[in-house]
Amino acid sequence: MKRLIALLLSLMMLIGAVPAMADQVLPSDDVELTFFCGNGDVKFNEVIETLIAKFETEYPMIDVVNVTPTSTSFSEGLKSLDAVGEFPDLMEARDVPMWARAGKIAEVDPELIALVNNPPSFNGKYYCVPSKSDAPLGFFYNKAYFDEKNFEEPKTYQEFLDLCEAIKADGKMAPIVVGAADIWHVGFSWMTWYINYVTNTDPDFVKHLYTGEAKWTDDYVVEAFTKYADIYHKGYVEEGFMSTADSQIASFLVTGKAAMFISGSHMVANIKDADPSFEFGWFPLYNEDGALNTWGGAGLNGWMYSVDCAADEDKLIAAKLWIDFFMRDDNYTYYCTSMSMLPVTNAEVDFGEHVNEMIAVQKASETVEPGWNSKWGENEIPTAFRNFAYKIAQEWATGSKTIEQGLQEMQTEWDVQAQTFNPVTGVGIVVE
Amino acid sequence: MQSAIAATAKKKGSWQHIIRLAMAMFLVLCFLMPMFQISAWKNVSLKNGLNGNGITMLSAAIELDDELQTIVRKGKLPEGVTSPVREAAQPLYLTGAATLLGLAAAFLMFLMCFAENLGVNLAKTRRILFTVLALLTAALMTAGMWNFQLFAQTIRDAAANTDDTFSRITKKLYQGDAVPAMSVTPWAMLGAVGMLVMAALQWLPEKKGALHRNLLWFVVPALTMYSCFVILPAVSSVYLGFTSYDGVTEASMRFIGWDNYKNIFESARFHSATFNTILIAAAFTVLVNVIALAMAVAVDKVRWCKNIFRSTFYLPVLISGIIAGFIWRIMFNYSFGVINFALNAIGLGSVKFIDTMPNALLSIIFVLLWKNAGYYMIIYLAALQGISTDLLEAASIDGANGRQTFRHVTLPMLAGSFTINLTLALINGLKVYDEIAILTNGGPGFSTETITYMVYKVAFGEMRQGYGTAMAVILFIIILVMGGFQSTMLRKREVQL
Repeated sequence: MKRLIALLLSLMMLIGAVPAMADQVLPSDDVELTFFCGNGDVKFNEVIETLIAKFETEYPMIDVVNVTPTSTSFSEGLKSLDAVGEFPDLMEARDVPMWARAGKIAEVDPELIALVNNPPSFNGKYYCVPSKSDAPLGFFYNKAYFDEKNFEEPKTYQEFLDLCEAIKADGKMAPIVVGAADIWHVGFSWMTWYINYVTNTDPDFVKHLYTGEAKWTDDYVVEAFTKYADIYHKGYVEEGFMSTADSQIASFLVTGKAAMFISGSHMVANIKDADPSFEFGWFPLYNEDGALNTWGGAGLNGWMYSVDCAADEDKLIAAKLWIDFFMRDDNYTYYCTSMSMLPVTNAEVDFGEHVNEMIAVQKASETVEPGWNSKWGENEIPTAFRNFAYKIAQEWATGSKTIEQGLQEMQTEWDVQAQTFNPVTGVGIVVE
Repeated sequence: MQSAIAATAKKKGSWQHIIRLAMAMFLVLCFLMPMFQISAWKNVSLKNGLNGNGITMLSAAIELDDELQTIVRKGKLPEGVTSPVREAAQPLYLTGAATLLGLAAAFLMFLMCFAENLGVNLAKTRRILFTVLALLTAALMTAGMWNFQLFAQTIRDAAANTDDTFSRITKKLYQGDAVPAMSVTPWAMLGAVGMLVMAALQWLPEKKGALHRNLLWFVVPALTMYSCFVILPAVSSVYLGFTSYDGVTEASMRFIGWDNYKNIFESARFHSATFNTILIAAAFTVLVNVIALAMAVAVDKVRWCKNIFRSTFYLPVLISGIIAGFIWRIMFNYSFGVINFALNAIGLGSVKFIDTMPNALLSIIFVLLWKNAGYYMIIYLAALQGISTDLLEAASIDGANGRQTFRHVTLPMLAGSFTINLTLALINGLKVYDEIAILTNGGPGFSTETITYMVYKVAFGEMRQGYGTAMAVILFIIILVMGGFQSTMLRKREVQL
């Protein structure tokens, strides 16, 4: 009897599955799909590996070959693969304008674009399916320690400085930990001060750098980065920041070595993974008059596929299946929940208190803008410039350069790079 | 002894051979340049008028053919239509062939000159072959230039006449008012002229007795492979140093002359990288040889567990630079590293090994020494074991003590190993990359970057292929000069010892 019931149940499941399978176009043969994504934090890698394993189980004819190098940045890795003629089929989308101009990535199928709300286009075309909308950056802190010392979340920049001073004076732990061994991690703090004090003063700062109306050495820029570097110079940052990796900062927080760190919403899951019982809070960085200017929104980040992939019928089907699979409610909810990323679909995600607070803060912000390296059009920065600026920021932090020296070098470098890439004049963008 | 060395040096080649070799290399470069301009100017040729060499024109003509075929298929032109442009484009195959022949001829010249520089006598073959190749290339190039003019005129006529459908389409393909400007690329013309000069030089009287026959023909297969996969790609990349190419987008491929070199020499970052390169290379060269020699002497004299000591000292050499970098990065970590843990345990406090300057640079040099000393030790050890015991016994009988024996017998007998090890250490010291990439990532900031590291970072990480290539050319020159200088000095020293 049991066997009969089991057989009937199996048959019912098979019959139920047939219409769903029949709707999908599958590759005509076994297909290998080379896959590339950024080497992000530990949690991101774990989520992507889980989803790939699930995808391969659902579509056994598709072999996803992850070609992401382990010890290099996203742009270096992708460029190196391109240089050796192994440009991947399916990729996490970054630097979309550059790869689109290079003719390396294909326009995405409109059916996939229809999966998301308000997809961003580049030159009127869709080259990527966005996978997330960014929540604001802010400081994660040790709640138990704050409660013990009666520290409160700062509501102005001066209160923030006072808080750092108080933690430093207490001497129990470093006020802030920074994972500056990873150059991209420097971007979290850079972006906070840049948005609060540079683009808040001139929203088209980058465009004006190209036209010569703004300079990195302008007074308000000097002031912004003096404030940034003061955090280090006043001893608020844990001393070994240059040998601390991004993956280590959560453990600094949960083990009581540091009271705070600045990062994105994805760190919620990382802290919970490091110690599920650890109590932590979050606050954004306000400026002097208590106003909020935050990072956020959906940009040209998500999934893209190569021109070669689009030219191969089976690979194209496989790539589209991946994007469709990724954006499917169950998988997408898992991704957004695990990474604490705001959805770009109508999927309902239960984030919990921290991310809900971030969403509320974003809504209350005076300005919300994407990262300075995620813009396109006249405010697109030369690809090379981002890391140059972060390196200078490292030198400010270690005290090996003054703010003025660093900004002067940045201006010189900007002038050099603008000779070969200038979206305002079209140099480096339009074939001459 | 010195005169014998000088005589040997003289036998190996004369200035004529060296000049000939340099010219051949330059000719290869001249004919390689147009190859790169195919991709750089392909779209320019089609969309904004014509300006390119035979192959560029050929490529443009083929694309034009394709466009026309599409138009015919769409029914906008009658089947079997013949166009004056397509017909005029056909002889361009000849100019494409001229450039390719030029490249093949220049490469053959380079191989022959190289073989001669090694001592193979090819004087008679060279004279005749170089002359034939030069005349053929020049003739084809001239015919090509004539074809350019015909093709340009055909395009101009077609674009000027808007009466028929074909002409309107042709004009549209060339985007309105773009006037076709025909020219052979200056590089290919320079190559053709250079070949004629090269051929003429072959008939000048040559110094007698400069060459000697030997068996160096055996080098040819290896040299051919090496040339194809190392020399040619390296030489061909020189062109990129004069462009703003980002490595991926065609729009970025613009000829910018010496701008990259100018910007490099004005860059504070490059100055710092050059200083670090020289400092690391010098410190590594001296220290690794001192340590390796000490290790070799110790291992040679040790009575027990000789093999265990040798293996232990050699073990780090077997680890890749990347792995060594990771191991030491973890050990040097300020907060969690085992070294700082030990220092704290004995009350000395933590040290920022890789977090500040100059500690970061010193840490890199230390890791390089740890990883590589065993390799140089093996070379010294082999030389030590090759020293005849007769010499050591003779010194002993003459009353020399251990220090005197080492100074006056052992050291002179190691002269050859010194030359090899110092040269290798210098070159390897100038090329350090792995350890820096993993240990400090060039930081803090740019403070531990070397030129090699910067070349990769700039070309691949920062998408500035042209800038990075220009920097690689500078590094090549630095290595060439320093290596050549060191090699010359050491040869003299060997003779004195």
